[in-house]
Amino acid sequence: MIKESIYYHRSYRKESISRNSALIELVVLLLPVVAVFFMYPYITYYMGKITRFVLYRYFSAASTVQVIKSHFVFFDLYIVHMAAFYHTPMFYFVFFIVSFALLIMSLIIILNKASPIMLYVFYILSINAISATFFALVPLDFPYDINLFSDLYIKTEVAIWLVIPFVLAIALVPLRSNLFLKLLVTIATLLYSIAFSLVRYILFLYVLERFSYVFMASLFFAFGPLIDFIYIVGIYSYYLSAVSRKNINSDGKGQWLF
Amino acid sequence: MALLAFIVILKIYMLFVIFVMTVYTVRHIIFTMNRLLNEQKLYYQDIMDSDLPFVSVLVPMHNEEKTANQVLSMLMLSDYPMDRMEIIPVNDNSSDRTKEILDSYSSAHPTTIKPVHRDSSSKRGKVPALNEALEIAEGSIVLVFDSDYLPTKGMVRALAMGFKNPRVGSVMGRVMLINTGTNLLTRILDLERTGGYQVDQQARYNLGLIAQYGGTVGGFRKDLVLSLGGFDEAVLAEDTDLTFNLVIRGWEVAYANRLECYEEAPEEWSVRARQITRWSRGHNMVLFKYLFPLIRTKYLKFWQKLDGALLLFTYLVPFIFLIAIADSLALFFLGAMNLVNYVIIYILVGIYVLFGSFSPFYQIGAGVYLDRTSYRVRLLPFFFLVFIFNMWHISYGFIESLIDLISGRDVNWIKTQRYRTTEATEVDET
Repeated sequence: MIKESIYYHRSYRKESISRNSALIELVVLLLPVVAVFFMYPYITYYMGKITRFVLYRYFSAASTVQVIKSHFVFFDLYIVHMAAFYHTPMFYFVFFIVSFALLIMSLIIILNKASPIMLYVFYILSINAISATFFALVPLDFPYDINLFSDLYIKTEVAIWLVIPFVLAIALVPLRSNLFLKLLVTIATLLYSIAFSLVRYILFLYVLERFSYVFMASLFFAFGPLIDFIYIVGIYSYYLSAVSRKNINSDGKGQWLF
Repeated sequence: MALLAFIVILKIYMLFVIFVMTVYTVRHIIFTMNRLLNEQKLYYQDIMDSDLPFVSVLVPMHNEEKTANQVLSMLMLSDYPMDRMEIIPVNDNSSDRTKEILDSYSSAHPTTIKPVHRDSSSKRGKVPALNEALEIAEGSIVLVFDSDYLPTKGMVRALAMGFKNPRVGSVMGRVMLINTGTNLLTRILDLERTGGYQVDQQARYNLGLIAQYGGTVGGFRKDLVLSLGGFDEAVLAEDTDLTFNLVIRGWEVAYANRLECYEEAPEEWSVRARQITRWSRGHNMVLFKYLFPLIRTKYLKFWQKLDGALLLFTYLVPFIFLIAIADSLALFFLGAMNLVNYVIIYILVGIYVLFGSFSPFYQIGAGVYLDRTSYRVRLLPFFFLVFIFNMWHISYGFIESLIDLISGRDVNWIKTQRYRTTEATEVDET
């Protein structure tokens, strides 16, 4: 059979998007930044209220769980203020022993088989072991309390909400797709981020209150802001997958010259 | 006072890391936008010329019984005139059936396939093997394919056409994976390659920056390399070594995105770990060797030098990041981590983490989008774990390269394991 037409090869494909439409898309996709900027005091206020409501059920000293104002760049925001405690020296000693035992075990495993998940576990256990050493030696010199952590966490999350539209705009503007859908992806990511921030906020405060400050470092370094970028990219990748599939046959074809 | 000074040093290092990450972020945004939206610089594959150079195709092999048959069969199917081409498979002290396979091909095609057998008395490794083969190669143009590659019919001709430009010293095609669908690792490596070739290499070529010769699916002018003394046997990354050796002397590396050649990717994390450690070790040796010559050369413009330096530092950045993690932990426990540090560092680091150490997520996304592959891209979030994996092994490779630099010890080549099934290895004597 003689081939009469041929699809253009992928090697030198490119997108045709004018400077003006790119600029318009950029402006539209950055609109959620304005929304977050003016709404973060309200969002953090309700996050604080919900967190207080949930934690209230678990701690006998729940009356000390309060939602208070904290100063941020332009507007004040709200954080949960509560009391936490230090464990006994014996607890820290046992924690120190267990942490190092786990660290050595994981080290033995990764020396034989350094899979990404084992390396991540090793990373978490290393932070835990450093924290355990600190608390075994000088627990009262720990420079933070639960309220400082609470403050830091909320401010970091607000900063991430402000950054999400920028990150996604860079990735989404050049794609050949409906602007409304791009905006929807940005808003969906923001909503997910806010909900996920709340869940982690409750969980982190619960862990710190229940098991003491010894876990603060690993919570922040291993499950803190770094984790946020995983779902941002996750949502982007699903959208990209759909757009890529939709455009699969839209590149035209050429005719053979015979 | 000493503690205060220590804290200041830690904070200065953090600022340095933020600067480095910002520079790389901007670089990759420029590459991504250029590849997606700007005019593309085409390779020379459409040139038709009857005046074809004599080409020597080198195929270094060490225990390649699983792959030798296919690569030789594919090369024999090439549309390049057989009287203008020779194939030199270099059997580097193999202990399996490689020698038998090569000899069988050589008897069937004595004028074209001329194997070189190296025994245990020779220095082992790809680089010494290439140097030995260069001594007997008759072609003015030398092309190299690793044994696991499957060069298509027009590949030799198209690669050779690049040398019609007298300023081109080396050419490089696009690497694709044949075993993408095998498991999570191969799918992730496919995404990594897509970002690296479809976007990064092509954008660098578009922008007149330094495209990289990758040691396979590519070639170089034989006399040129011989005039440079052949390949440096003290360097594991002979490809990057050649790239910089050429560009600092005013030669160009041409990148052919259209010339897709399939290779076999590692299917186990341990194999990938060894491969990436070797790359890091070799690449960082090239960094030590060429950073100052690159800065001093009169043949490159400022932006080419800057991007060349960033390219050289690629395998150092994960180590810088590893130190930054230790730095931030120290600051944390010293109570010196203020809000500004936290927010800026983690946002930038967060973005950087998804680089997977080679390409940020939007660059890989752009490559996948241009290729119109769809489902695999959903694995992008896994690059968070890949980054940690790469950071660990690349840092180890960097430390090895430092030891190499200080001690001047000999480097040993560790071959990447092959996975091809035995059905594909039967000798084709037709």
